[in-house]
Amino acid sequence: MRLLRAVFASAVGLCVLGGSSLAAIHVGPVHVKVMERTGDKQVSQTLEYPQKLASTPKLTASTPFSLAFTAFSDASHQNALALDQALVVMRHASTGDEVTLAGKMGAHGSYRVDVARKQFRAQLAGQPGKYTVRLVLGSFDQGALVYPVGEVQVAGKQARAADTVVYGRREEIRHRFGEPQKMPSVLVSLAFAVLAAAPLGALVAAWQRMGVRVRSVDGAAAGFLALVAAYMALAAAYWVGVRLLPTLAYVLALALPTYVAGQRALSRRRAAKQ
Amino acid sequence: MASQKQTQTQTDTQAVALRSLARRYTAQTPRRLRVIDAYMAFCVAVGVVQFVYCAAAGSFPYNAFLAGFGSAVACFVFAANLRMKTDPQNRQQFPGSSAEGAFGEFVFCHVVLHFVVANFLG
Amino acid sequence: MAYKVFGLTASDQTSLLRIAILGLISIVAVGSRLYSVIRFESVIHEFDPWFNYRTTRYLVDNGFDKFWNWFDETAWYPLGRVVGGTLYPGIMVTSATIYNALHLVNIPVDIRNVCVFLAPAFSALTALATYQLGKEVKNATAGLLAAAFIGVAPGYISRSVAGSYDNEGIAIFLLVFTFFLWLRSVRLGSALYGALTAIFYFYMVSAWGGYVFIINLIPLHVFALLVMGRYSNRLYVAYSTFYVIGTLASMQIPFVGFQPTFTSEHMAALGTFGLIQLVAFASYVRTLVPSDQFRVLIRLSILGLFVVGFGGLVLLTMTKVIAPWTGRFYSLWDTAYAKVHIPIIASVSEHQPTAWPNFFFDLNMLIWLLPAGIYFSFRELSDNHVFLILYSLFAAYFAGVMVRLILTLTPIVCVMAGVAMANVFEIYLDFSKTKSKAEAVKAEDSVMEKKEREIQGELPAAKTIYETAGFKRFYALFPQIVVVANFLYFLCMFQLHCSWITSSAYSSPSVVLASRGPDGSHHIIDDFREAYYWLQMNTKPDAKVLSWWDYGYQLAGMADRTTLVDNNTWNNTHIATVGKILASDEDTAYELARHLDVDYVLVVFGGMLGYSGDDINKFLWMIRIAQGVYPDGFKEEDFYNAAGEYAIGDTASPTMRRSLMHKLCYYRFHEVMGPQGFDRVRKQKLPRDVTLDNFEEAYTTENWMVRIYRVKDLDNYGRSHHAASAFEGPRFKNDFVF
Repeated sequence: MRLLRAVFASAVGLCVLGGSSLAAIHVGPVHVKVMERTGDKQVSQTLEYPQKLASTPKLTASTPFSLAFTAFSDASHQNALALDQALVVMRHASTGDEVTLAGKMGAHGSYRVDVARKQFRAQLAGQPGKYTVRLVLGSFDQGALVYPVGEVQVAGKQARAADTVVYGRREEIRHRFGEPQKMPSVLVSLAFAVLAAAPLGALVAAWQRMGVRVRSVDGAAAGFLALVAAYMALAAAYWVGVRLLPTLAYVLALALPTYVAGQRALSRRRAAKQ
Repeated sequence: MASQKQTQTQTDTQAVALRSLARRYTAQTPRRLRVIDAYMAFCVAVGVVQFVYCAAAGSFPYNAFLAGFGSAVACFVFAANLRMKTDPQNRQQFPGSSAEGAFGEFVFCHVVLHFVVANFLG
Repeated sequence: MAYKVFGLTASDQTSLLRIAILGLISIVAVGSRLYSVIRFESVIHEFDPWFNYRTTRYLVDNGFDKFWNWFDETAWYPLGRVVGGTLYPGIMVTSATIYNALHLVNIPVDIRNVCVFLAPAFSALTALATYQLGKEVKNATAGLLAAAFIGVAPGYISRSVAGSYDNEGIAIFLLVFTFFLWLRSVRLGSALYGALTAIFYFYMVSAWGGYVFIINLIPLHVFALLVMGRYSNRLYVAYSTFYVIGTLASMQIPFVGFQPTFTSEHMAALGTFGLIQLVAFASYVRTLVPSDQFRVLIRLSILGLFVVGFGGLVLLTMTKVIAPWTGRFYSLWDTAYAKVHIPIIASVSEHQPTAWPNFFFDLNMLIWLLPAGIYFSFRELSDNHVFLILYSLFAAYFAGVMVRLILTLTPIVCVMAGVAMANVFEIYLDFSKTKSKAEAVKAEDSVMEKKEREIQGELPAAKTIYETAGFKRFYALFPQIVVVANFLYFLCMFQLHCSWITSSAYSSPSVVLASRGPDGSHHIIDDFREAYYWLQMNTKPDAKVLSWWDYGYQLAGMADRTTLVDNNTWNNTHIATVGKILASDEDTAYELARHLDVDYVLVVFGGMLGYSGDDINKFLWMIRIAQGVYPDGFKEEDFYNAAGEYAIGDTASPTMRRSLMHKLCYYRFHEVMGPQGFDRVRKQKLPRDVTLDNFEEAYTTENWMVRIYRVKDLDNYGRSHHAASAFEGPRFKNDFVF
């Protein structure tokens, strides 16, 4: 039983191997270009698989780098093949970080990768150094192909430390409060407080001179005045700290007795006058 | 020369007018109204002090200033209302109202006002 | 001669009748606002009401203190909104109070129903307040007529149908009641009514921004009376009490804050307050000194003070101590101002100038009774009538400037029409005089007849019909009957018109739509709620949904998701950014959308149904608003094609076709409408080949009214989405090649 299974597995394996050897990706000539800003070509080379780049071109933000190729399904380069994966993988020689660029399909089976200023700044400029460039091609039914094209030298500045992830304690965030308002000195405030209270004394004095005296008040008037005083006390309490809704409840509770008392006191007074 | 004389007479008439105003006030105003007038003067004084403070020392707790100044103005106005309504000369101007009714209104206005002000003081 | 019916005297009967009529008016007022609930369901309408509803729910759930300090981080993402300080809390507090009161007496009503039925309930109160106002300026007849008018006037119904849970619903009641209290306090010179005016003014301030109308109209009234030489101590008592308490109280609302002390809108009131103090003092001095001396004194003081005060005001305005008039206010005077300077205001349809048929549509015969009312007011011209005339003139002007201000015009039109109608009925319904006249004629005739008989012997003369007593009696009554019948006919027509308008124009919730099939069958179109419900059930609770600001409140209320902009248009830049996202090409939009952390984009598209209020029709405003803030990005002209048309099909301008809005609306639309399909709103052929790579369709509702797109995440291989789509091929045509 076990033997049978092993035989079966190996047969399957053979079939797979055979299949993959039968169908393979073939890559046509690879055009590698590094342009100067002026349009002159710094490097322009056409590579045949598995040929490699002769020199190590230097890439900067202002020298666009492009790589174009066509994939075929046969060795005679007759039938162009649309791939399921067409990547250019650039691997940093010292750190091993990889930058993967996807190829854009132009005509059927022909691909192109451009590293223009935008991509360069976003992907490469942060980590200058030497990169190996590989084409990684793949198709679901035709197998895969890895083609080391050569090396490029990326110019640029090492990214600042702030851009990299820092683990561990970060700097503490401090909340900044608003600037305190300019206030006059306590002395000035106090002086004005006294000044504001002073007219009260003058008022009392003036009333004294006019001969205002508090006569004895009858019960109704006393009740009324007491209730009004309760209102004033409530306002003060509200200022000091009672919440709004309880205050309103008290206001409503006091309203009716105050109204009745006021009505009675004032009408009695009026009747007494007439 | 003529114009100077004219100015002279003008200031004269003004002084005369002011003096007669003061005389008539003291002669015609009942004591009850004078009590209210004193209170109104007190309100004005308090308001002026606060306003001077605001102008001189800055209006920072603006709500507190508004509450204080506003309540001074309001007290003045309510007192003026009370005065108008209790002035016997104005009796026929206010149909169906009495001095006591005016006082009741005065109290009601004050109750409302002081809750507003207490809320505004912060 | 006093008849007694059921032991009631005539005056008792009248008041009983009045109460019954007012009760009926209230029932009619409430009833005619319930079409929408009967046709659809008890649902909150439109846009703003959804915000009010959401905040009310928050208030009921979390209590007043939390509501007051609420910072809503799910609106205006990523800015957030200080809700407590930027709304008029009146309506929420009112409904929460009603809700709590009902629960206190064990009536377990749902807060949604309180909100839905709040506006109709308050319309009944408005009718009562209008009755009081009419009674104050004329008599109970005018009051009853005015109440009947306001109960059904479409100009007011438009903002107070059941479900239209908006500030105006309670504000109109407060407006009318405040004015009633004001007129009464002026008439009686009562500080008590002055203080009550101030309290209701405070309530109004807490409920609606339209309070500015009150705080300008009342000082204007006072000023006009002063100029007419009608100063009285009553006026002083009423105005100074009102102003002092009212102003201090209005500053308690955080949204209003200290504005009453430094914005120009409130300066008229302050100036009038100062002026009336001076005038009061002057008139007091006048009672003390002889008139020639008084003239000297007055020349000395008043003129100088006035000049100084006015100069000070101008100086303060120029040195920016007093804020200059706000833009919204300028747009009241210059109707073209908004379109040029503040497109966000002009973009709202209710801020457009009123077309004149609107007046007739909303007020019917009342609008031509308004001049008659003004005429009758001029005939009497008491202090109250001056107020009515001023109110009519100003409200009429403002209603002409902005459609929505017909709302403030409606109460005065109703009162004026009530006054005019009451005058007509007073004369023409009084049959007692004509009756006696007719009897006199009859008596005269019989005397004449006798005489004639005596003269001509026993032979009575042959009479024509014109000489019969019956005809003469009829002839005396004829003009009265004609006039009364005419007016009764008008009244009936008015009632018919009002119910028709209400049921056909103002009772659509606009959240749920209805349509009729060719066979007369009734369809309910519920795409909005379908989409919002989908969002609520299928997206993460913290998903950010981008849409045009119109739908912000609904999104927050129904889908409970974070929005970028909403109907509280406080940050123009943020709105312009959203406009820019929708108007720019896919890649720019994608970058911006990712920058703003957007997860979904929602557009409203009416091309399938013929719903004309969709985003493509609003698109030009989005461009204008975006253009106002980002002038280098767009030009409105780029969105018109070479022929200058606002086209959407294959003839559309390239910029239009590239724009995100166009793509989101028409993506895959031709698949359902066919290659020869038409957009049913624009009546244009559909564009073909609408590609969309950076966004993917997440949900489209049954009638394609709401389309929701997901903002794609970054590609795993770091490709651009265009490359990825090109790589994968068209998504929906042939997914599998095997």
